[in-house]
Amino acid sequence: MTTASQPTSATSVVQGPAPVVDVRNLSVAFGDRTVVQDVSFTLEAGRCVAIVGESGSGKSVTARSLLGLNGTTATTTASALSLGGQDLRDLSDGAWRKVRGKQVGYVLQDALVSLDPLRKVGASVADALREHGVGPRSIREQQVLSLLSRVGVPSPALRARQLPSELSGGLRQRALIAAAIALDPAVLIADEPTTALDTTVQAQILALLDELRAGGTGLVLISHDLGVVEQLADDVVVMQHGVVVEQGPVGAVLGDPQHPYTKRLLAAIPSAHAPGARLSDAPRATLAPRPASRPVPVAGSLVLSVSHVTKRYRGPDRVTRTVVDDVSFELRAGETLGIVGESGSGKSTTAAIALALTPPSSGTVTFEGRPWSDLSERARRGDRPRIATVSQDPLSSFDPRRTVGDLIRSALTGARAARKSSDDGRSDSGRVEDLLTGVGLDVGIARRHPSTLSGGQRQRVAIARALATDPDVLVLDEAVSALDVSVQAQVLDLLADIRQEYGTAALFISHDLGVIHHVSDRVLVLRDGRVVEEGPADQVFRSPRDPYTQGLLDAVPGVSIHRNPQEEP
Amino acid sequence: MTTATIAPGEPDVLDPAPAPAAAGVRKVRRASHPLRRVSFWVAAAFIALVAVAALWPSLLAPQDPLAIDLGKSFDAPSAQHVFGTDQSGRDVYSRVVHGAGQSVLIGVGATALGLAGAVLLGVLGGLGGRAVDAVVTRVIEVLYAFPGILLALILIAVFGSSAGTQILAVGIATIPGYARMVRGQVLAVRGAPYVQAERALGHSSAHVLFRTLLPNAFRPLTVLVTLGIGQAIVWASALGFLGMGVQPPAPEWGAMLNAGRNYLQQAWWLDFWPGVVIVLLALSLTAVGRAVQTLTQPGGPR
Repeated sequence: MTTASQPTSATSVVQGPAPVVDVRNLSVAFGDRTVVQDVSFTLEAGRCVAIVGESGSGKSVTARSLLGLNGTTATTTASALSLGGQDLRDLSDGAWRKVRGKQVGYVLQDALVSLDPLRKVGASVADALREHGVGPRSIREQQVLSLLSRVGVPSPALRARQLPSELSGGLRQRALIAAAIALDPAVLIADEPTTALDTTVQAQILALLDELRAGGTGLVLISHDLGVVEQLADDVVVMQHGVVVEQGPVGAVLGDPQHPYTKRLLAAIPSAHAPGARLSDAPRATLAPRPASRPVPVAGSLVLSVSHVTKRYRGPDRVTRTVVDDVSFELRAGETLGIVGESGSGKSTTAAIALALTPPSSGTVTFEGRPWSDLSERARRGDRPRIATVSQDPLSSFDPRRTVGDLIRSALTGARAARKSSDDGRSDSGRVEDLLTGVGLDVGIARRHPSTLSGGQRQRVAIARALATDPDVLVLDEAVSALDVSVQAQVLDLLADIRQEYGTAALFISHDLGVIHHVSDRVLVLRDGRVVEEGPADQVFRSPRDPYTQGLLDAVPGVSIHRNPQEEP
Repeated sequence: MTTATIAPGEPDVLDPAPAPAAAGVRKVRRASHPLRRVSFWVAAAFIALVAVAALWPSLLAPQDPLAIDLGKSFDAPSAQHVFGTDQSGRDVYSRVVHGAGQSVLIGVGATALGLAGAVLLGVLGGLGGRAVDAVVTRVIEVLYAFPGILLALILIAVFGSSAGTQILAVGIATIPGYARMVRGQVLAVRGAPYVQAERALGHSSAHVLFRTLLPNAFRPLTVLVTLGIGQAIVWASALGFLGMGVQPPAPEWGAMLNAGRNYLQQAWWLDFWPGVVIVLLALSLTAVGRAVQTLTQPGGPR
C-alpha cells in the first residue's frame, strides 16, 4: 500500500514524446523483506527526475532496478519498467549488459572507490567503449580524450594516463561521468554524485550534469540533499521506508509540501531557518544540572585563545607542507565559533591543536589565560576534562571493546582522576543514566555496543561522553556531517539545548555553510590553512568581504528554499 | 549476497524501515552463530579430551605406556589393544594418551615463550620511538631469516635433547611472526582516534596504555594463540620425529612417529594413531580459534 498523497503514478500525463524511462508499480524485495514498494515515475528526454529520501528509503534500490544491479537475491516486480521503449523486465544477463552503458549510464557517489585504483583513468573510461565493441584501440583512445575534455577535465591526455589516486575528488567524479556518458546513453543515473565533494566542486559537477541534461539526456538523480535537488531536478519523488510519499514538479513539492515527511525533511535544513531556530520536532533535552562545584565560566570571559598558530608537516616525499598558517582566534565563554572551510583547509588540524592533541610548530594556545599548548602532558591533564570533543565518525573514537555504559563510565573516571577530586556524591551509574537520558537515548543502550547503534545514536553517545566531564568547551569536528538531514536536525537541536542549559562554549567545525550559519555566533573562514575572513556569523554570510567566501556562498545549491523570515531564533 | 557487493552506494538495502527507537540493528546473516555449529562442539570436545589426557592420563589409559610384552609385539588393533602394540609389545593407545602431556606442554610452553618474546619486542618497537623501533625491526628480520631447524640443532648441541629444548627451539622460532604482528597492532592502535579520545578525556598515560592501547593491540592475538598452539605442537612433533626431542621409549607423538616409521609396511597403526591425533588436535584448535575470532569481534558475532 502506498501513502502517496499525490497519486500521479498510473495517470501521469505524457506530453510530447514518449518517456525515456517509464516505471510503474515497481516493487523490490530481498527475501521476504520488501525494500521498494509500488514506485512509479516517468522521465522524458532532457529532463531530470530526482529521487530523494534518507538512508534506507529505497532510493538507490529503485535506481539500480533500472540497471538490473540489485543482485540475484532481489525479487523485482513492476507493471512497467522500460527504458527508451525497451521492456527491462525479464532481461537475460547478456541483454542487461547491452543495456548498461549504452542505454543508461551510472554515476556513483564516491569516485575513489568506484574507479579501479590500479588502472589508469583513461582505461576505466574506455571500458564502456570496449565492452560495446567500439574499436580499434586508437579510436577509443581518441574518444576517451574527447570525453574527458567534454566533462571539463583539463589536460585530458595527462589525466588519462594517471591513476585515480592522483586526481582530486572533483576530477575523479568528472572521469566517472565521462565513463557513464561514453556511449551517449539516453538516460544517466547519478546516485549521490556530489555528496563526497566540497561545495565549490559540487557546484561545478552540478553545472556539468545540468549541461548534459540540457543536451537531451534524461537524468535520474538520487540525493538526500534537497538543495541539490531543487537546483537540478524538474520532478521529484520523495521516498520513505520504500514507498513514495509524495511526487510531482519540484517547485510544487518543495514549495508547498503536502506530506508530513517532506515537510520534516525541508524543516530539517538549517539554511531554511533563521539561525538558532529549532529544526526538529524532538522534545527539548532534559539535561541534568551541572554540579554547583563546577560552574561554567562567566559568559564573555576569554576561554580559549589561539594566537599565530602554524603547523608544518614533512611528508614522506620530504616536502614540508604548511597545513595551518598563522591562525589566530579567541573563543569566549558561552559562545559558538564556527570554523568553515573545504577539505584540506586545515580545519581538523586546527581542532587538534586547540585540543592539544597535536603541538603547533609555532604559536601558542592558552586556556583561560594560562598556557595550554606549551604545557607538558602531565601538567595539562588537570584541565583536560574541561575541553571535550565530538568527531565526525564517533565509532572510531570509541574503544571497540567497550559498551556504551563502559565508555561513559571511563570518561567519568578519567575526569575524576585528572581533576584529582572525588565526584560530588553522584554515583557513576546514576550519571550514566542521566547523561543518556539527557541526550535523548534510552537507558538500556548502556549495555549495547556502539557498533550495533545507528549513526544518530552513536553521535548522541559521543555527545553524552563529552558532557560526562562537565566541559567548558566543546570541540565539534564535523560532528553532524555524516548524518541524515533529519537526524542532523535533531543533533543540532540537542547541541543548542546543551548550549542553552550549560552555557558551554563551542568550536564548531564544518564544511557545511548552512550548518555553520545556523549554529555560530562568529565565523572563521579557512582556506589552505589561512584565515581569509572572520566576523559575526550574520555579517559573514550576508555580506562576505573576501572573494573566496563569496565564491563558497554562491556555490551552495538551492539557497532559494523558502526561508521563513518570521521565525524567531 | 546483496547488491552491496555490486554497487558500493548507500547501505539502503540493509535497512528498509528503521524503527525510530531501535534503529540500526542491521544484521545480515552471513553464517550461523559459531556456538550453534556442530563442528565447533566436536572440536572443543576433542580438545577437552586431549587436555584430560595431558593432565590425568591414567584416567583414560590405566595401562603403563612403558610396559614391555615381547610376546605381543606388532599386535594389530584388537579389543584388548584398541590401537595395537608396537615392536616391544607396548600398548599404542596408552602411549598416545600418555604422550599428550609432553606434546601439550611443548605446544603451550613454546607458544607462551614465543608470545612473551613477541610482546616484549613488539611493544618496545611500537612505543619505543624511532631508534628503538629500527633495532627491533632488524632483530625481528634476523629471527625471521634464521632457519628454525638450525636453531634447534644449536640448542640441542648446547642443552641436549629434552622437552625444554623443544620448547626453547619452537618458542624462539615463533617469536618473529607474533612480534611483527604486535608491533604493527601497537602502532595502529596508538594512532587510533579512540586512543586520542581517551587522552583528551584526561586519562593518565599509564591508564591509556594498559586499559586501552595494549588490550586492543593484543586482541587479535587471542585468536592467533589458539591457532599457534596447534602449529607449535606440529612443529614439536616434527622435532621429535627428527630425534631432537624427548628420547624413546618415553611416549611423545613425534618420537612415536619416528620409531614407527621403520615398521610402516607391517604395522601401519604405529604411525597412524599418533599422526591422526596430531592432525585432529591441530584441526580442532584451528576450528576453536576461528570461533573465538568470530565471538571476539567488536559487537559480537555477526
